[in-house]
Amino acid sequence: MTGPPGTLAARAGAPRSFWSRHRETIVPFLFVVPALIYVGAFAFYPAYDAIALSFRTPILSFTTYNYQSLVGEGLYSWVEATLIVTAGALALQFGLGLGIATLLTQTFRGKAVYGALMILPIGIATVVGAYTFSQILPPQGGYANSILALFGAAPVDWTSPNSMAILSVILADSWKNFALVVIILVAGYASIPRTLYLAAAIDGAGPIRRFLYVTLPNLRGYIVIALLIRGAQEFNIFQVAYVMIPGGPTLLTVAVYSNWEDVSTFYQATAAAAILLGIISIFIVAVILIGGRRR
Amino acid sequence: MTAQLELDHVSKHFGDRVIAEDVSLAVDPGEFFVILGPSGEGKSTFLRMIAGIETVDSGEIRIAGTDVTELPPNKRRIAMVFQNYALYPNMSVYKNIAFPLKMQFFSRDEIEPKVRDAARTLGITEILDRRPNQISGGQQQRVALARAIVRSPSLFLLDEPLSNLDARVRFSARAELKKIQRDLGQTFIYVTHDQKEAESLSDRTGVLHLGRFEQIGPFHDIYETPTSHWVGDFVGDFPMNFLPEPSGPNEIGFRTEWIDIGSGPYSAVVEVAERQGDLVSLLCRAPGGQRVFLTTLQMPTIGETIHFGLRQSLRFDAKGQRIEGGTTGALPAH
Amino acid sequence: MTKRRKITASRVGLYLAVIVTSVFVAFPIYIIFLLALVPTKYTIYSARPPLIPPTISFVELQAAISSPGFAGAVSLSLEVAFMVGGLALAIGIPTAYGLSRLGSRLAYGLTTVLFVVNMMPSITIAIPLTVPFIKYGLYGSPISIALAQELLALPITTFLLVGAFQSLPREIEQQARVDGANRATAIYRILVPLIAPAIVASFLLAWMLSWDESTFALILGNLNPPTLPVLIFLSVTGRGNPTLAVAFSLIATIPVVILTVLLQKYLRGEDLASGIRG
Repeated sequence: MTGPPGTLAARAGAPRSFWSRHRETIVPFLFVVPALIYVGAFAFYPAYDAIALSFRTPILSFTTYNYQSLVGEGLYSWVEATLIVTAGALALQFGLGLGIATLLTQTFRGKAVYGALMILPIGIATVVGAYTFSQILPPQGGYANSILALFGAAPVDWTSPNSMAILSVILADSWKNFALVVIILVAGYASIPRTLYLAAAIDGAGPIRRFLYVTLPNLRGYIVIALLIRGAQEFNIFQVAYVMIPGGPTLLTVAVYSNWEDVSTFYQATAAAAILLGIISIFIVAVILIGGRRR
Repeated sequence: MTAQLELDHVSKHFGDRVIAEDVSLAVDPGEFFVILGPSGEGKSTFLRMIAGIETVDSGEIRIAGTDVTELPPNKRRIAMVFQNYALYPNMSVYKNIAFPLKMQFFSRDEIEPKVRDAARTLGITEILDRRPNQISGGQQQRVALARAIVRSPSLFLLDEPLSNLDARVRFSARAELKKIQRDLGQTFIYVTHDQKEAESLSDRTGVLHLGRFEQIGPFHDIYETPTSHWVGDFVGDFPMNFLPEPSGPNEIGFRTEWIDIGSGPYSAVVEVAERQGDLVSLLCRAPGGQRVFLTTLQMPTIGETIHFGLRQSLRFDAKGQRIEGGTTGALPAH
Repeated sequence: MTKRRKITASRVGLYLAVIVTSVFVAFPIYIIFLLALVPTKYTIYSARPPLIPPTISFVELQAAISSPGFAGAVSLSLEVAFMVGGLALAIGIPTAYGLSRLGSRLAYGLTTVLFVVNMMPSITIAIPLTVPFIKYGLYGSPISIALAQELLALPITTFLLVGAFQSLPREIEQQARVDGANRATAIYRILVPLIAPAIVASFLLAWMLSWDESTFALILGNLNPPTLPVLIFLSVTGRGNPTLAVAFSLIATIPVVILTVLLQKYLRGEDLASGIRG
């Protein structure tokens, strides 16, 4: 029984141990520990190692030589190409993804087949996609020019100048990856209550205003996730550029690989890898800051 | 006699949120104890604390004399019925009821008669092969109850088990629940915000507010002699009426049915009148601005002044605590 | 009347958009088939490859299947992909359970860690990983490739599974524990069967990521044999026979196309999204 009010604090219960109080947090946390050990050993430690190695050569324990030599080989143009490809591919994939997800909210004949077709490129290996696009958009000939010939147009070199090559890489990468944006945004559309559209329609909002004032705000969370997931991966485009356009625009990833292949430039490869990591880290920090504000 | 459930100076906080503030409580074997409190004040968490799903910050919980504070829920020998019934959607009704027995390593031959027995008690033998999503809400509630009674736990914990039922089913479900508890002779701890349930089900009721039991006792006592202004206000179809004493900081409290209408030292002006069956319920305003609930037989006109006296009243101090000895029929002079 | 015309116009626009995007997606897939099934003089060695093939031949396919490196590459790819799928569940299910049961602030921090892992560039991780792998004699082994590829698969599968765990009412697990199940039993007997579709989707997704992956497989594999994507990569970058690569491509594509259709049935984008938001 409770004692009379006011005397309750006379004898408080003994405080429980830390384990006893936080059992329901500690045990779930223990479930996460194996994954933390795994990513620590296989992701964070190697990332640290890449940075440490980038300041070494076989004979020097600390040097900035690796970075200096990269600058001489065209580091700035690699960074520039990487940023342009990332931004361009992200924009194209997002546009395609949003458009197709919006189409999939409509009813039309053959929708099921269309939906399945839109997902297919995810299943096609990146290397295969890269090689196929290298046959569609080569320097001379190729299937894109075969199509142009049908309309009597002159053939185009899809790999030169550099800006054309970058466009080709963006197109090939987006073809392979836009479907993930579709999957996420379709889920986003499904989460929007129908009644909101009904209410907006009753209020006299047309399709465009319904899209702007109902769809976009409600999709916002999903859009952010789609951009995050794809955004980080765009920095990693490697096979598409390397396979499609040999000797074309060098992305940072391509530079890492080329230097790594040559045993004598192993440490330069780690320097380029460290720079790539640095750029992605900036992106990650920006994302976390934005994500933190969202909460 | 050892209490079936004892809370010994138990405290529990989630940040600023108080779930239990140095609570001590003893519930006897076979008792039907109702924890009554407003929605959203952590009653469910309080019950989960007894179940072991939530931990406690300090103090001790004992079930049948054993300290269970450090035990996980599966070692506490309790049964629980959740508000949403938490039936396992991937199992048939039969398998749902059998699950607690399976967890105690009963053999298949031992399980079957127990499940059938429990199903018969609750009249759900017909639906044993169905899935939870193929039966009605009332049936789901019975399945959850059958799953609770199928083994012999030391304690039953029920978290608003009737609140998801239609009003019409709820009445009979309530009566049935009380009968089951009596037949089993087991201890029930029952959480609700519905005072009708507390009134009809409980042997004793504890009114939980901000992590403390404001008052514990038979529901009738709580209704008649609330220990505080807050309890008087919270319990009852009509909140208790309060008017200041003519002098001093104290106030008097009185139930609507303690009012004699016609003459007396008090008066109030009718603001709202509503016919409910034979009676008319009135919301009135005393000269000091306090609201007073009255019932009459005839519909008054709005704005009419009603004079009344009190057969009985309680006295509360400035902190809202009841002053002992105030519950007499004698009227304070006015 | 005008309204009706407006509706027709919007229908036309809709079908036009459907057709244009369909062609955009389907055309390269069509080209994969052309490259594999048409004699090379009409494809990669043609100055103007015909869009409608004059003839079809299975010569390249047969040559690819019987080529010396092929069987080894397929079996290595399969082995690694099943390891990645299995590891994704073995680590992902407990991790996702833990994350779904932790307080929101802690879960947010841990989710961010996984997200960061997902964003790390494979090539940056792969190169330093060669050093300990060589040291411990793991270099080139299937498990070393699988452990590296898991970095790509684990975050996504975990997010998917977190979303699935969160979509179940908490009370289901609490009820199981009150009913006498310890935590492991409650997870294994009650929760796991309820999220079976998400588990299937996670396995398929991890499997496909591995089947597709070539950066880790290239740098951490001993290339004797390489995985199938690496075999293709080497073939088309001047270290193999490009005419076989096209046939390899088709063979690599077919199982994944089937899986993609399967995956579509099980993958719930909302689980992924809610899992990431933690």
